[in-house]
Parts: sequence; structure tokens; C-alpha cells
Amino acid sequence: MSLIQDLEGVGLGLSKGQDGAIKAYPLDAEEVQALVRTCRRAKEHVLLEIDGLPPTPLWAPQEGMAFSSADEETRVCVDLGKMKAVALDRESHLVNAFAGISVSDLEEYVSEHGFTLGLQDPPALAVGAWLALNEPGPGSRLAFPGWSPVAAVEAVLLEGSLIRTSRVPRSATGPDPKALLIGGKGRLGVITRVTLRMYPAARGKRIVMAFADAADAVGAVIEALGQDLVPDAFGLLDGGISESVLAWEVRGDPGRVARVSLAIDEVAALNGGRRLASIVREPGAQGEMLKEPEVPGLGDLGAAGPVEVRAAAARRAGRRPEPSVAIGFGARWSRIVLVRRALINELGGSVRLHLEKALPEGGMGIACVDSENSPRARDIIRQAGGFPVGDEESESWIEGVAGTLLGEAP
Amino acid sequence: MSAVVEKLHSRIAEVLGRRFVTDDAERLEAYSRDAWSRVFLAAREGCSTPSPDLVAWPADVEQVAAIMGLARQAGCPVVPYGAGSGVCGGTYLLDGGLIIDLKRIDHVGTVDRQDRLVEVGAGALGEHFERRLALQGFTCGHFPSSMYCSTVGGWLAARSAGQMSSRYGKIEDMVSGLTFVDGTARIRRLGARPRAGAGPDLIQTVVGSEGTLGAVTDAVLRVHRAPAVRRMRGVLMPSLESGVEAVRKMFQAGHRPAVVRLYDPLDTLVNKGKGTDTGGGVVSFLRRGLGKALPKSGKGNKRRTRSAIVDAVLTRPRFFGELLDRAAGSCMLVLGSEGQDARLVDYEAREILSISLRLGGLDLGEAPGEHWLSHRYSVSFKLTPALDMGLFVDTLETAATWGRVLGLYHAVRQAVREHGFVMAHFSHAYEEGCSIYFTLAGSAPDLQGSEEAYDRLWRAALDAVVAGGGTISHHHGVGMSKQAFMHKEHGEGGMVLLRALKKALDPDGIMNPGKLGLGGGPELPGAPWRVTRAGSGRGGWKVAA
Amino acid sequence: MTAKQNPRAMDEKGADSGPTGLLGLHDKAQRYCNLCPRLCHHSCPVSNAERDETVTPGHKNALAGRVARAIRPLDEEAADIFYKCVNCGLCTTVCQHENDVSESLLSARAVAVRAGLEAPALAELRRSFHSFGNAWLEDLRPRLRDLVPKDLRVGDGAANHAGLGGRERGAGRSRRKLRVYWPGCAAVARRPDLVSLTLEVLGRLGEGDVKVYCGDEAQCCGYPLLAAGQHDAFVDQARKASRALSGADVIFTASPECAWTFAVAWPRRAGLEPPARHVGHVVDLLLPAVERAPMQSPLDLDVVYHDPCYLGRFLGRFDEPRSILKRLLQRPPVEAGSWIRDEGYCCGAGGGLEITSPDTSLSIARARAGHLLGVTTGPPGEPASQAELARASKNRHIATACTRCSIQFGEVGASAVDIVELLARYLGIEGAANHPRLEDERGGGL
Ligand SMILES: Cc1cc2nc3c(=O)[nH]c(=O)nc-3n(C[C@H](O)[C@H](O)[C@H](O)COP(=O)(O)OP(=O)(O)OC[C@H]3O[C@@H](n4cnc5c(N)ncnc54)[C@H](O)[C@@H]3O)c2cc1C
Ligand code: SF4
Ligand code: SF4
Repeated sequence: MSLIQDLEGVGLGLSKGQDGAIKAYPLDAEEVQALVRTCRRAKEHVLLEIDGLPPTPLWAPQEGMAFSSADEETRVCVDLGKMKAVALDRESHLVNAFAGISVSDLEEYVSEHGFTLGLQDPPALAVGAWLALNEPGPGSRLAFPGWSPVAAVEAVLLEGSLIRTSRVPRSATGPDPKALLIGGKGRLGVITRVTLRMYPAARGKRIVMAFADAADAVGAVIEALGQDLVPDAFGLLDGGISESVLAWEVRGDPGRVARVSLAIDEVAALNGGRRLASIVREPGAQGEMLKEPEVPGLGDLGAAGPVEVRAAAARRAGRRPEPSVAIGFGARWSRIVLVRRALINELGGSVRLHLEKALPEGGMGIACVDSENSPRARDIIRQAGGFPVGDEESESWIEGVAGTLLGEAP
Repeated sequence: MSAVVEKLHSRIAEVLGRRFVTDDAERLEAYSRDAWSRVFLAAREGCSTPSPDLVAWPADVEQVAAIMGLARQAGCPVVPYGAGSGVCGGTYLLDGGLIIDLKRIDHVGTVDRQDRLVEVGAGALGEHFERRLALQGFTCGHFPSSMYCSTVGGWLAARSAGQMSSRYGKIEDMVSGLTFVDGTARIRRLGARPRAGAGPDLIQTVVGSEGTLGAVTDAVLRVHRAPAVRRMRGVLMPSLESGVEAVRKMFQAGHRPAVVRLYDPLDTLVNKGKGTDTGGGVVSFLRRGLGKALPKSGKGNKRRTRSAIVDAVLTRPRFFGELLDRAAGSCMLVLGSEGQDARLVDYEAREILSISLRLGGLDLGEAPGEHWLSHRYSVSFKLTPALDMGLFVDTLETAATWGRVLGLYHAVRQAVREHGFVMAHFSHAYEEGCSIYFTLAGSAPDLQGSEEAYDRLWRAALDAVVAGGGTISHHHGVGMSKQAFMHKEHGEGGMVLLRALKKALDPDGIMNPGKLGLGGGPELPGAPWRVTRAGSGRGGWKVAA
Repeated sequence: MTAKQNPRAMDEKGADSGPTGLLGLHDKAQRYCNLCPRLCHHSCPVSNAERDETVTPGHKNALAGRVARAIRPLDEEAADIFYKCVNCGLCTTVCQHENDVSESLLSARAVAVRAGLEAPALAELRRSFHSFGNAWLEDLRPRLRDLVPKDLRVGDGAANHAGLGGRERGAGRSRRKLRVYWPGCAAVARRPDLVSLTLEVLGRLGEGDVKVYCGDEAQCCGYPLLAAGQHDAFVDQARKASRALSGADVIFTASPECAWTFAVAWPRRAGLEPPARHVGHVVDLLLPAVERAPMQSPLDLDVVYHDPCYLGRFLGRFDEPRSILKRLLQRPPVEAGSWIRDEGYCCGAGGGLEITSPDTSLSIARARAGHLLGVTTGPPGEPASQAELARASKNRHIATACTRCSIQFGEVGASAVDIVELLARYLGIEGAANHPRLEDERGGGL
């Protein structure tokens, strides 16, 4: 019997793609589990593809070797499009959703009930895949140091068993299994359901400030965080030779919002900031932090990301814009300015940074450089103490666990 | 002493120097205990506990890796050791092996004032760490009641929570980087990058591993400027329900008070609103409460007093539980806000107070809050007198989402009441739920009886926790004592994943065998394992591979 | 005395009732330590230096308890551990049961010595007392007489078994109180300059009637023997000193542990009354005197104060030395973070540790001095190096009021000055400025 017949035998909705891949449309975790188990039992080497994640092999590595590619692989694509149900726990501010619903749809759903996920920019990606990638990652809600949008995860491990992590707010019962699944790129299991935290939708205030220099803007961020003034959303756009712009949004209790914004204004002023705009944000309002027309007076800077800023500047100077590449990186606050300076010193003044995620100790963002400079830029970032995205340690770690997991009998 | 141990001893001595590895009997004895309450029962009777074969004191991560490599070659089990304040039997080597004490790795770096991070050695004792930060104008914000006798590495290993976790987070929320040596003796450095949105958060796969994956040697922790303003408060809530509701409202409105402690009616009564808690308090409360029924406590009457109390609580726990229930009603809520900016701190303090008052609370002013603050470690000292009186006393900490918290509370009390005395407080709150900290006490006439009664009580309590949707531990960890409940906590799939992780990082299974349900060790509570049995390994180690 | 005192005297009956009799006196403390998660762990300078659970107060005391209850034999290993204590009392401050581990271990040592388990390093101490009546391997009496002007000496005739009263006391009510300054053998042996300076300072402050015992009978209060577990020799020494000093009305000591030994250890362990109605430390005498004296120009020095364990925790003198320093500097001295006053951290020189575990003793000193001088954020933690301490000493001085502390800090290359030295300098007493300890970087003296 062929794999497809076996899969039909367990009652899965299937179709055969033109490229020969088997497409499966499970309805719940049990069906995903049946699918994985069946594939594991199959004689062929099965390569599983889930919702746009990198394909993952379902066979155990050979002795002493990493996963070698097999001569003949059967591709099984799992489409979670039928798994979209959502349930709210209003008392505990949690939302439980099947993995197939997109994050933006989920946000829309919770906002209809007066809540928000608190993400800066909910993507159109399916929530399971979004967590599996953990890129670009959670928003910058910093109100709590260890904040994560995820309360619990349900997944079918590639070895065949079902895991449901506890929904308790915190525990001390060994390593956190969620941590292997979130950002694991599906290498260990298929996320089938998630429980996310949600917050009462409330008015907020966005303050946009201009700084003569990106370093001053970073300085203001450092000082504000040091005073425990934490944003719910954040963005910093490097203006190069023109002004840099920092946007800072606080939401929630109106009294708190008013006081935090005032304090942030003070800190910014001390660091040479100039208020560009102070915008009331309605409950549930989303959107990019730095964009016209929401932020009047943003001028060229408001066009969008650094790529566009550079293009606009080039056009004004009567040049053709160079092709640009965005390199994602993370760095501690103290290193961010160093990274920028090193890039400018080595590659010239065309470099721009755009920070869109903030943690207490550092930010995540993109560096925009000319395309031919891209490999060098990665090295420069590294040398200056930053970390370009893409990380071998994590990958080998997850591979190691995958190896032992798939080594287990199904 | 077997030849295997002797050989390992001398090879470790070559790496560390003779002074830093020992097989002296008394020094092994000193490392044959953590702070697991059940073991104190044996210690009270003068029984000794299984001890390691060797104890070593490496000075840095390279030395840790070197001696772990030697241990691996010898097939010798290894337990990383902080300060032995763990309360779950996490440091025992039932069949002998090597204990690695990390306290020589106790450096505390200069705080990076921009990133507000500090590097600290895993072996630094909590109180030392905090005092050394204070000299730099910073705080970590982590204040477990075991502050004086636990290490940073132990905190990370057991996912510890401090008394101000509601504002500063648990230790897993504070850690930004760590260095650890895995079971293959490989040094791994995690988390130099800020972790948002960059693949898996590997740190969270090591934090909480209680020495079963490797030894943590260094950590980078987030720190905060020492608070410039602090406002403490006490509120008497009319009922437990209103108290829980007040705390939920505070957190869901986005407030982050550093201190939120809600005492159940009994705990409130026992401590007479003083804002302290636990075992010794129980005894003095009972003494007060039972009043004239007890003989006067004087020199000659001491024993009689003791046994009268013990009889009262233990022979009729259910009766007393119900009696006390009826006597008690209102609940003490201790609140504390702190931070840099007085405007924000005052605002939060005002808001959370008004939330409590709107739910019927009675403002008791600053005194109960201040009293709690100045006595915040006193609770730890109360365990000893209770144990000395012949009781067994322990604490169970769980957590659940708001929807389940009260049900869980009642279920655990109901379950434990058959077996002993129970009271509780609620602390460590989050937006979606909070933790409950139960104090349990009971007694039996002799060691074996005490151990059995202790196990029965724990089994009943943990069954109720699992059934009620709580976690078997919010911050004490699992160790040996709760490992039988790990599969109930994580389910079959969870255990499969954790075992795969274990196997990937510790393929030979030498790291802290018999803990966390990852293979080996007694199925406590309830297995007929007696701490009175001396270690039998002595080089004949066989660890779960 | 405001010290935490165990009111129960450990009389000789206790000592004589079997080898573990003395230990039985600490039963509750030992039981508690056995059932405690070592809650005072962070406080113990010895376990902080050695990083070894075995020498935490809790384990040491539980071990004493196991020996007392015959759960484990009394052997060399146990005896060795009983000596791992500087008797600083910090654990007792932390312990909310006020368990006196220091006292328990002193008893345990005595029991060990009786059982023939004297630490080899201490045999010399015993011999020194046998031959010279002190711990310093030489007869200190001639030295002391050289230091003290004739008119200030008492008891220096032939051996005076009637004590000091016979000669010094006037008749009836009009007699002046006999006030005696007791420098202690450590000062005479290692810091004779301090003895002279003290006498000069006292003279200058109008306290010139304070005498110094210079007799033959006793050179030492017996503390080193007590710490060494030489119970019998201690009692013997205490009796001698008691006879020698009888008749004094007030005694001020330079080393606080002498005052503690007189006032607490004698009654408790030797069944003797304190040698005078009032036993105090020399700061008791100096503070009112300097407050009465006319103001001088302040000392321009960066001074950090180190609380000696016996002066602070045991005798309760936290404010007196600080008040003196404030007077001299016209501002409060620098404080050593939170390791001050009743949580003052030991210099490592107590309890005979400098003899039994010299490395540990010095490591404690380096950690403490590093902290005091601002080189490290410990103690505990990495002890500062000798070079670091020497460098930092150019800018800052550790002020203390205990001979042993200043000797100990000197051993590790840190600048430590006794309050008396600072006072001498303040009063412009010649010689004080030239003292090497007070020379600053520019070599110009104070
Ligand atoms: C009186 C008292 C009060 C307490 N209060 C609290 C509290 O308020 N909050 C709280 O969270 N806990 C509390 N605890 C529990 C205990 O203090 C914590 O679990 C603490 O984290 C243990 O630290 P430790 O250094 O003593 O670790 P140990 O007891 O030495 O070890 C605990 C476990 O961690 C492992 N381990 C230790 N160090 C390392 C390392 N460097 N690398 C890898 N594994 C390691 C050990 O192998 C063991 O499994 C309390 C305990 C007591 C006795
Ligand atoms: S008295 Fe001092 S040295 Fe002795 S055990 Fe206590 S803290 Fe340690
Ligand atoms: S002295 Fe007190 S705090 Fe220290 S171990 Fe003993 S009982 Fe515990």
C-alpha cells in the first residue's frame, strides 16, 4: 500500500498536488497526529511541509550523521486552513486558537470582543507558523520583563505524540517545552493550537520625536527604559544626515498613559529630542509606527522604511537609488550605536537602521545597506557586537533534539 | 573506596588541585542534604542520608567542563550544587557520584548601565549578589525567602521566584544570557543577543532543568536601578473571593505592584495581620487558639504542650480545619509599589488601593506593609521550630489561571484536610492568573510513620492540584519529590520532548539522574524509599543511558 | 555589656560532666541548626572564604550536635571543623533563633582538646602560654614596662597576690577610682606604638590618672586559650589575671575581645566575676574626653570605618567609635555598604583562625579590606590582591578600634589605623604624623 492510501485509511482529507506532493487537510490535532504517525510508519522517506515553514524530514538520522537527504522523498504538505476555531477566556484574558487562523484575523476577532493581542503589527501569517518561525517575533510590549504573547501551545511531535503545554501563568517544572516549539521552525512538531495572552483594548498615546542624531535617539531609549518607562510599541528610524525619528506608544489605563507619556517627553527633551507629534490612538488601532499621514511632519522620513528613505534622498539629489538590502539583526542598546557607527565608517554614509522591537536590554531591527556590501555588513555587525539574524547555535541545538526525538520508535 | 572513585578523585585533583576535591567523610556528609522537608524528618532522628562519593569545587567554566569530561569517561553521575536550599530533594545521589559545588564561581560584574545587565557567577549567594549590586546602585529585584542560602545558579536551575516577582518577574524572566556545560562536557554560551524574534529561546530550555542537562556556570541577568520610591500598604479584604478579584483587576488594568500578597482567612488569623507567614506561626497560633486546653508551657510541661498540640492538629485535622474555617473570614492583602518616578509609583499605589477599597477592603494604612517588608525573610526561620516540635511542615506552591484559582484553592485544602493542617496565601500575580502558596503541617509518632504520613499528604495535595488545573510547582521545582507527577503535568508528549532534549544534551544520562521524571530514582511521593538508607554506589554507578 | 549574652554560666560542672558535657549546653542551638536550611549561610566569613558547605555555621553546629548526641564519633576530622570559626557572631545576628554557634563551637573545641584532639598548630600556643604567659613566644612584661612611665604603672612591684587594691586605694569615701588601661598582649607584642600613643592621648585629654597594669602576674586575659579550646589553661589564666587585677574599679581595654573575655567569658566559662565593676573599651573613655576637648582643625583624610566584631556585635559599641571619628573628621566616616554595625564583617583574625587556617584567615582579610577600600564590591567574593590593596591604601584608610583588626589588615597590605592614632594626629601629638601607616601618597604624612 502506498502512503496516500494509508493516509486515506485514517480518514484524512487529501489531494495530490501537480508536483506530486500529497496535500493533507486535517481538522484537528488528532488528525495531524494520525498523519504524522502514518508517515512515520511508511516505508518511504517523508518530507513534511507545513504552512510555509521549511520542509522537515520525518526519518531518523543515520548513525553519526546529521539528517542526510534521502534519494527518494515523498513530500507531504499539511494545510491547516481548516483549523481556525477560536475560543476566549475573558476572565483570564486568554485566547485559544487553532493554528490555521492568521494572526491578523485573530487580532480582529479578539478586538471585536474588546481585546487586543498587544502586538505591534499582527501579520497575515497563520498563527502556528508565526510561532514556529518566531520571526519577526512578538511586539515590543515591555510592561513586563519576560513578556511573551504565548501562554500555551499544542503540537504534534514529529515522533507522533501530542503535546499540550500547561496554561498556567508560570511554572517550575523543568525546561519549558514551549521554548523548543516556538521558533523551532516546525523541526520538532506541528503546532496545532495556541493560547495567546490578550489585553483589554484601550486608548493609547503615540509620541513621535525627532533627534538630530540616531545616537541621541538611542540614548533617550536607554534612559527611558532605565527609568522603567516602557512602551507597548516602539520604532526608531535612522535619518542618516537628516533627523532620526523615535515613536513610542503607551496604552492602557488613561492615568498611567498620561503620566508615562509626560515622563517620556521629559526624558526625550533631556536627550535633545523635539516633539513631532502626539497622537491619540483609538482602541484596537494597529499600523506601522512611523508613517504619514498619521505622523504629520514626518516628511521624507515617513515614507516608510530606510530603503525608501534612501531612495527619496537619492531622487532629491538627482541620483538613481542604489539597490538596497535589509539585514535583520539584534543588539544590546549599548552596541546599537556602535554597530551603526561601524557600518557607516566601513561602508559610507548610505547606511540606515530601523529598529522595531525593543527589549529591556536591546533592540531588534534591520540595517539597510547597498546590496553588494551585504556579506561585509554582516561581518561588521558581528564585530561591533551585534547579531545578524540566522543563528547556528539554535539550529544545531534543535537538530540535536530532533535527532533524539526521531530516533525514538514511533 | 573503590578503585574507580579513587582514580576519578586523583584525576580531578590534577585539574583543580588537591584542595578542591574531597572524599572526606564529614565533607561528603555536609553535601548529603538539601532542604527537602522529608529529609529533615530523618535528620531529626539522627539518620544520615545518601552521600556523594566526591565533592569538587571548580573555579571557572573550563574547570567545570574538564571535570565533567572526566566524570563522563568514568560513567560517574554528576550533580551541580548551589547552596542546597532546594526543597525537592534535587541534589541527592542515591547511588553515589560527584557533586560539583559552584560557589567558587561567584563573581559579580560591573553593571552595564546602558543595557542594565550584569554578569554573575552561578555560585554567587543571593544575598551577596544583591548587596554587591546595591553598592552599584542597582537591584536584581529577585528576593526569594531563601535569599541568604541560595545561589543564582540554583535559582536558574529551579525557576525560582522572588517576593517581588509581580514587578520584576521570575528568574526566567530576568535572564538574558547564560553559560553552561552540558552532559557531554561541552561549553555552551546562550543568549548574547536580545531574544525577541530570533528563533527559539534556548535559554528557556535550560532554565528549570535542575542540573539534569548540565551545570550553569555564569549568567547575564537584567537589573534595575534601585527603586527611588516605595509605597507599602495593608488592606483587609472582606473575603478571599474579593481579595482574588482585587488582585486580578489590578493586573489586568496593567498595574505591576512589586508586592501583592493575599493571605487566606486562616493565614490572616494565624499571623494576626502582621504580614508574616508559615509553620512556626501555626504552632503559636494553635497554642493561643487552644488556650487553656493545653498545659502551661514551662520547663517541665514543654513536652506535654508539644504533644497536646500535635494531638490536636493531627488526630483531628478535619475537625480543626472546619473549626478554623468558621472562625475566620477576612483576608489580609499586602501591597507595595516601587520604582524610579514618584508620579508613577504614587499613581499606581493610589489606583490599586482604590481597586481594593471598591471591592469592600478596609484600608489599614502603611503599617502592615512596612511590617511585612522588614520581616520578609522571617518566614524562613519558622520551619525549624515546627520541625523540632515533632511536626512535619512543608510548602506547596502552585499557580493557575484566574478562572481556576479559587477552585484549586478549595480542592487542595479539602484534599489535605484529611491528613493535616493547611493554610495559604496568594502571591506572584500575573495578568492571566496567580500562584497559591500552601503551608502544610502534620505529624506522626515515629520516623516511618511521619514519612508515610508526609507522602500521603503530598500525594493527596498533588492529585488535587493536577485535577484542579494547577501546576505542580510554580517556583520550587520538581527534583525527586514531585517527579512522579511530571507526566501528569506535561502529558505523554511533553515527557517525550523533554526526554529528547535530555538525550540530546546528556546522552549518557550522567547529569543528576533520578530527577524531574527523566529517568531513574524513586517514584515519590509514595515509593518505599527511605532516606535512612546510606548510599550504595561507591563507584558501581549505573546511570540511565 | 549589651552583647547578646548567654546568661547561663558554663561553670566547671558543665565542663567536667563527661567529654560531651559542655556540648550539651548548646543542645537547642544544635538541634535547630540540624533542622535549618542553613539560613545564615551568607553571613559566615569562613564558609564564604572556603565556599564549603561543611564550614557553614549550620553544618558546623549540627556536627557539634551529632558529636554531642554520639551519632558520630569525636575525631580529628570533626575537631578540625570546630576550629573553622572566627567566633565573629555574625551568624547569631542573622539567626532569628539567636543561636550562638560561636559559643557552641568554643565548647566543642574544649571537648575536642580534652579528648586529645588539639589542633597541631595550636600546640605552640599552649607552650607559649606555659613558658611566657602569653601567645607571643616572648616575655612581654619588660617591654610593657618600657612603654609605660613609672607614675602610670600599677601592680609592678613584686607579684601582688592581693591585687591592686591594697596599694592604690585610699581610705574611705574620698579615694579616687582606680581606672586601669589594659593594652592586651597583642598590642604590646605587635603594636607597642599604640600603647604609648594611647597614654599620650589620654594625658592630653585630661585623663592622665588612668593607670596601666604592669605586674608580673598576668599579661593576657586568656582569650587565645579560650579560642584554642584550652579550657583548663584558660581558666588558669583567667584566675591569674583576676587576682592581678582585683581592686581595679574600671578597666578599659585596647582590644575589644579582652573586654568581652573579662566581662562575659570569665563569668560564663571560668566561673569568675569580671575583674572590675565596669569593664569597657578605650573608646568609652575617649569619646567623652574628646567631646570635652576644644575643637581642632579636622583631619583631611578619607576614612572608612570597620566595626570590629567584639567591639560592635559583642559589646554593642557601634556609635562611640563613629562619634569619635565624626569629631576628628568633622563629617561621618565612610561606611562599608551594608556590612556594617551589627552586620559588620570580620577581618578574619578571630577565633585563632589565623593559626589554624592561615590561608582562610588572610583571604577573609583581603576580601574585607578590598571592600572597605573600594577595590571590590565584596565581601565576600574574590579577595582583593595585595597590590590592589596597597594602591587603594594610598587614598583611603581603614579606621578601626581593635589591635587585632589593624594588625590583620596590615598583614594583607592594607592601610589600617587605630582610632587612637587618628586622635593623636588630631591632637597634634608628635610622632603620630610620622607613623608609616598614616603617610599619604605624596609622602608628606597626614
Ligand atoms: C526557607 C526556604 C525558603 C525558600 N523560598 C523560596 C522562594 O521564596 N522562592 C523560590 O523560588 N524558592 C525558594 N526556596 C527554594 C530554593 O531556595 C530554590 O529552589 C533555590 O533556587 C535553590 O537554590 P540553591 O542554590 O540552594 O540550589 P540547590 O538546592 O543547591 O540545587 C537545587 C537544584 O538545582 C540544581 N542546581 C543548582 N545549581 C546549579 C547550577 N549552577 N547549574 C545547574 N543546576 C544547578 C541542583 O542540582 C538541584 O537540582 C526556598 C527554600 C528554603 C529552604
Ligand atoms: S561565629 Fe562567625 S565564623 Fe563562626 S560560624 Fe558564625 S559566622 Fe561563621
Ligand atoms: S544558626 Fe540559626 S540560621 Fe544559622 S543554621 Fe543554625 S538555626 Fe539556621
